[in-house]
Amino acid sequence: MDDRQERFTGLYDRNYRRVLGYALLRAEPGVAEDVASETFLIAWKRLNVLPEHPLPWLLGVARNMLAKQRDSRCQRQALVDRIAALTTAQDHLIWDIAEHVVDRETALAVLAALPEQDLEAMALATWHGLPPEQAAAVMGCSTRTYNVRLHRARKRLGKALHVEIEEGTALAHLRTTRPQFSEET
Amino acid sequence: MSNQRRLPRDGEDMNDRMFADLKPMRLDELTDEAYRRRRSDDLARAFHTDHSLRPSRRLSMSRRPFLFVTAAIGAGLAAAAIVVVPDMVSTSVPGPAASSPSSAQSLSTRNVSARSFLLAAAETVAREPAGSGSYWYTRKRASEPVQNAMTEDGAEFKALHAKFNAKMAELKDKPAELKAAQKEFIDAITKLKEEKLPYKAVVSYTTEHWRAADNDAKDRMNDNQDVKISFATPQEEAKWKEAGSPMLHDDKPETSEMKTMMPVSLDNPSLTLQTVADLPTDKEGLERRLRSLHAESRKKKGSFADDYLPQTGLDLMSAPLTPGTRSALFKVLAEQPNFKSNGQVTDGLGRTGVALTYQSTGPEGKVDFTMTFDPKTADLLEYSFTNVGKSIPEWKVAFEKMGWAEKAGERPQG
Repeated sequence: MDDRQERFTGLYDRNYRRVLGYALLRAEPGVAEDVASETFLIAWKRLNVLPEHPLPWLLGVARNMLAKQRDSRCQRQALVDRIAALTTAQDHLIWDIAEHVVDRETALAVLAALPEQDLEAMALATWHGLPPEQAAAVMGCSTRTYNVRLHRARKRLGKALHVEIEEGTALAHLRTTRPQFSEET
Repeated sequence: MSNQRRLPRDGEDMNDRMFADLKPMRLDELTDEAYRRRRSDDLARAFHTDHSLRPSRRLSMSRRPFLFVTAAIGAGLAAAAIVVVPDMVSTSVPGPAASSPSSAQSLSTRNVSARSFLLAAAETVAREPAGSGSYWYTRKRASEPVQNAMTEDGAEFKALHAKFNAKMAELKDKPAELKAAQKEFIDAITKLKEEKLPYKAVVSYTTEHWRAADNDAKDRMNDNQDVKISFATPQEEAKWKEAGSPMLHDDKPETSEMKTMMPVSLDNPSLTLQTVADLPTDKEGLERRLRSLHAESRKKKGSFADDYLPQTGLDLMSAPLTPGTRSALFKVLAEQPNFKSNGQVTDGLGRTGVALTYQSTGPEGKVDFTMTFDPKTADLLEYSFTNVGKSIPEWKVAFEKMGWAEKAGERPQG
């Protein structure tokens, strides 16, 4: 393996799962895997000129590719729908352990009502850990626009959850009727 | 141990933490499994793919306004399907109009085949002089059917939300029923977000893109400009109003600058602003190269003619090719028997052009891929993809301008 191959292998090993994870939340698995593989083939061609932090660039390529898929396998799928499709009992268990103020279904119900672009802004920040300038590069918008989307998403989420908490004796009741697994340390 | 809920000390922190916990665990399992399964093949595929990438440099290419050609078109070509308005076609083309070539009107009614048009275009573009610049500029107007409304602004969404809130209050002491109501709400909202509109609307918007020839420079994009929604009929618009006139597309323009270094053709990662200038300039050489690129592309399982060439040809048509390569590309396209002519058309910007359609079979059935060319310069004016049987294209793009610019933000002269 030469130097170039070694560098590419490192890039692939460090980032493949994150790129596929991003694509899986926008498309069904077959399409998502194809998009991830093609993204890395493009990266191989551009290896010498990749940015110092390649993840935003990789996600941007994947996003662009997903946007250009115009066949029936790529009909719009709401993020919440993809989350629901991938949710298992384990996720409910973890949610309960975390002791959030509302239950998982309520949180999803709140998210369902947010614009998809705002959800993507939150996902890039919290799931991918990208700072605003990098997340903006992925979404193809200015950092200012990205910050507006992120702020709006947080605000709407916060407002919706606040309402749920204020009015949510029902939710509180629901929570307390569920088994609790958490040990406070 | 505590059964008490954590209350937020900081709203944003709480929201982010909650959002983070919504990430499904299964996602990691799927990505791990795919990583193990695909790693060897993906690496091997990359290592067997040419990775030559020329160092960045100032690029030059040929572009110039109309040059009236006197190409010699074979006498046997003016047949089959009909194209109108080939002003650039040789005056030696046999036919009634050949007797009065000086008349623009008579030229505009001459009929030739798609193949003749493409070969004449090959002659026209081959004679264009070189141009150069630091940024490849395109300004295009895209139109597409609106698939989904921006749900959260619609009356239906607001009604669902109000109903859900009422139900929450009503069922506050009935946890099982409350849970069912929440699920019902999520399903309904998701369905609303994903469902097709009960009326037909088309959104159009303009995008300007400066692609940097220098790998170290940033691209600039002015996107989502001048957004317009249109309806096929007043009845369709009335249905939209009945639905509460929901917003159908974000109407705010966006400007971004970034180093994208994207290839000019997603199906061909090795074709960049730098490398397209090195493509062969003869038909045989270019076709060999394209077939080789097809063999290593993600479309290798599909046919060269139906699955690969239309999209790649289109990508190249809107890229800074040399005059020789552009001419060779027209010749390669002329060899495709499936290209039919639609004759004279008016594009989305009101310009007269000659439309050539290539029908292929995609995952959703037959698709008409149409390219419309300026009859004088052979410039690509517009392209579209339309599912056969549908009246509205799935995707239509009109090129208002393309060419070299010296700076990002500056438009080409002429």
